[in-house]
Amino acid sequence: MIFTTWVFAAFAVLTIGLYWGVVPQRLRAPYLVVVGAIFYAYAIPIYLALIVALSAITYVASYAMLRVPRPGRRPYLLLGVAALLATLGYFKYAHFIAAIVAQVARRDVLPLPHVVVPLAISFFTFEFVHVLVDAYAGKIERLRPMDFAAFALFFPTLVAGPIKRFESFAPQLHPIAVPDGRTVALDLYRIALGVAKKTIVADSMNAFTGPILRPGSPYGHIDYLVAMLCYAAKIYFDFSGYSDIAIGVAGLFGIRIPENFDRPYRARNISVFWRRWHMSLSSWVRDYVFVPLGGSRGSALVTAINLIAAMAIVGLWHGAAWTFVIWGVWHGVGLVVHRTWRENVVPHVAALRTESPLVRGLSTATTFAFVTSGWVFFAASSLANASLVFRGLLF
Amino acid sequence: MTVLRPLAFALAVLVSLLAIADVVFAATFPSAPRLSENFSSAFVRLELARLRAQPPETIVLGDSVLWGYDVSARESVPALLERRGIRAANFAYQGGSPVNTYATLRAILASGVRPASVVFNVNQKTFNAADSAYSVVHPSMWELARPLFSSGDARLVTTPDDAQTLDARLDRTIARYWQLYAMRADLREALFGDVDAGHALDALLEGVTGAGARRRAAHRPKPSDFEGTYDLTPLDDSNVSAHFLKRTIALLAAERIPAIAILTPTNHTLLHAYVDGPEYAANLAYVRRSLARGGIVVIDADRAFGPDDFFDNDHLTAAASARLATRVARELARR
Amino acid sequence: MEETDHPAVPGSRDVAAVLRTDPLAALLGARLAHPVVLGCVLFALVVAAIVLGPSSESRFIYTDF
Repeated sequence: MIFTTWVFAAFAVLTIGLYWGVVPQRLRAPYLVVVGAIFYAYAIPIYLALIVALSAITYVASYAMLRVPRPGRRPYLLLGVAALLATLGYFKYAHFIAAIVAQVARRDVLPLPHVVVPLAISFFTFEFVHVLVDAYAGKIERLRPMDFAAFALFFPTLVAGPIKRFESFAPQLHPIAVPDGRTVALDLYRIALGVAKKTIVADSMNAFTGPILRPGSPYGHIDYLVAMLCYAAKIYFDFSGYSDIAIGVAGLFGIRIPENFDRPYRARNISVFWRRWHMSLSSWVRDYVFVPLGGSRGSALVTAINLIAAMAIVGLWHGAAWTFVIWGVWHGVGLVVHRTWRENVVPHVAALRTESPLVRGLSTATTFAFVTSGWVFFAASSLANASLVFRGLLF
Repeated sequence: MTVLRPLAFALAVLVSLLAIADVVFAATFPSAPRLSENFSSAFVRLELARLRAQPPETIVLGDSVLWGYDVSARESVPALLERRGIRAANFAYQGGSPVNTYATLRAILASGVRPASVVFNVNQKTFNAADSAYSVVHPSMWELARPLFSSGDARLVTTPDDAQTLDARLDRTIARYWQLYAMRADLREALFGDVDAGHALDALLEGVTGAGARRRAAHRPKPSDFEGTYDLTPLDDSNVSAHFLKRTIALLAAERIPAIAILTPTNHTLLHAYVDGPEYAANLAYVRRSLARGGIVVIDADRAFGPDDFFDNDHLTAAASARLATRVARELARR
Repeated sequence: MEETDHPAVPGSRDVAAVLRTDPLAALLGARLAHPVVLGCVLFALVVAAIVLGPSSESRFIYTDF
């Protein structure tokens, strides 16, 4: 269900009404599981079986790991993660991989499957991997099946996050706190604001983003510039609006979920940007990709490789296409450049260490320009189109 | 339970305010010189209610040619008729076709509005099954006209696949009770002169940067743009557009409403390769015969305009629209 | 600018923090919790969304997730 539809509005009103008005406290967690299942099945019913199966595998493996001392947990972790990534790989990346193989081998080696991507598979895969890894690391003390089921099928975050953490979610079910008047008001306001952001700003931007999506004549320099700025606005207001609705609806169920955005375009540098943009994803990638790869503990070169690799994965996670990978690498390189700048240039230039408005302004503008340019790759349907946009903008 | 009370109270305030706004909105919403691209059935009902109080002399039906594509509302044929002292209501709309003309006429008559005459255009391109409006009625007009169609006729109409989804049905139900929401497309047209604020702003920006002019220059119509637009298969009753043209003729005769049918001006210079053969002439003659048999006055404007009078294959410039309006006015005066 | 996390949910912002950072919520503060005020704010947002919204269907940007 798309959030800005009547069906969703009716569904949310109905489920929230029943939740507080009819369902007794002890049945609220199972109720969340049931409505989540209905929500998921509304899209493509058969795929409900998929998410249930993957939840079951994750749960069983995680539960087993809690029962077994750490040295013996590895097989469960590996099997669980392999099952999840294999499923994600098949549904989302099989066509992409087959196309690459065909290009390399210069003939059709593997059949090019055309599968319908299950709703939110990228999101729930990451949530399940997080549970497996945290169970392995001993960070999860208790894994009640109903808690996990509610976590897996929590419908406000089911479509596109924010990516939740089990350790924060589960305790909120015991008991489910009844929000006070102020919180209810804020959640309602949040939902309305999210809808307004999406419809007033994000969707209106569609009128301007033609040049970035379908570059070519007769667009001129200004057209491309306007399109890039509007796309940057669109993607922020669309996703943050969506997140507002998700957070607001979750709040009306008495559950607080992580924030996703914190005025990201005001970031002074690319590192700060990634601490403010899609925060639930960037923290996930930090904890489950960047740090396990070694993080910034090694040499500058190793750190650089880890950063670029992690961001390439972020890019690939967004879509099965080279443009997304390039977008990720773009940001990875940006992070490396910033890190190098911060460690090798700033300490030697006093002017850069001041808090002057000029330095702040330039830093923010540079970061914004960098991020906005990155969106060209994100939006483009092909690398050729991306280069057309840049050429159209500059030459 | 304690959570529901503030929630319910706030929502009740919201709904009350929306209800009050609706009453004010419906009472003060201005009439429009012509239908917007995404006009709503609620708007049509509102306009028809106003016309019941003061019936027009003539109702203009048809497609974008009579609606006034690429010319301002003031320069469209119905507006020019008004300037010549004929009270004309413009119910033509973009994407019009014989099935749309028939649906609109039925809806207008069913609402109790009886014009003294009807003017409509018949465009040869709409007899092509590949044309987007061949068997598709504008969704808002279909809402009004569907109950009036016989089941046989309704079967000929193509409805979009997603018209029956739960969301679409909820949308229609809510639109029935919430005027402001139902008429949002018309409201945006009235406020911004465009389909929405974003497009209006974009048009403004295009004007400022010159991209609009560049785009128009780059897209000067070429003959190859219209390959396949005109179907030259001989027309007969199995053609959906021909079928509904005959329905329109019969309806006008049954209601005894004098009518003028315009055979749409066609840019024979641009379309020379497609429309200068005997098949096209035969189909044109078929339409002319059907209309004449129904007692409808025919203005054959098919070859009446030269290449400089067109923006593309059939849309007239302001000057050409004026000449067509003069001709229509003359015919109306004769009756 | 440091926001205080909800104690149970790292990354979430509690009501006070949201009220500090969201311009409209900060303006209205505790008054936002009053049902009539809230109803009016929601009304303004809904009407704004209808008037300024797009003609084409709203589509969430990530559709193959």
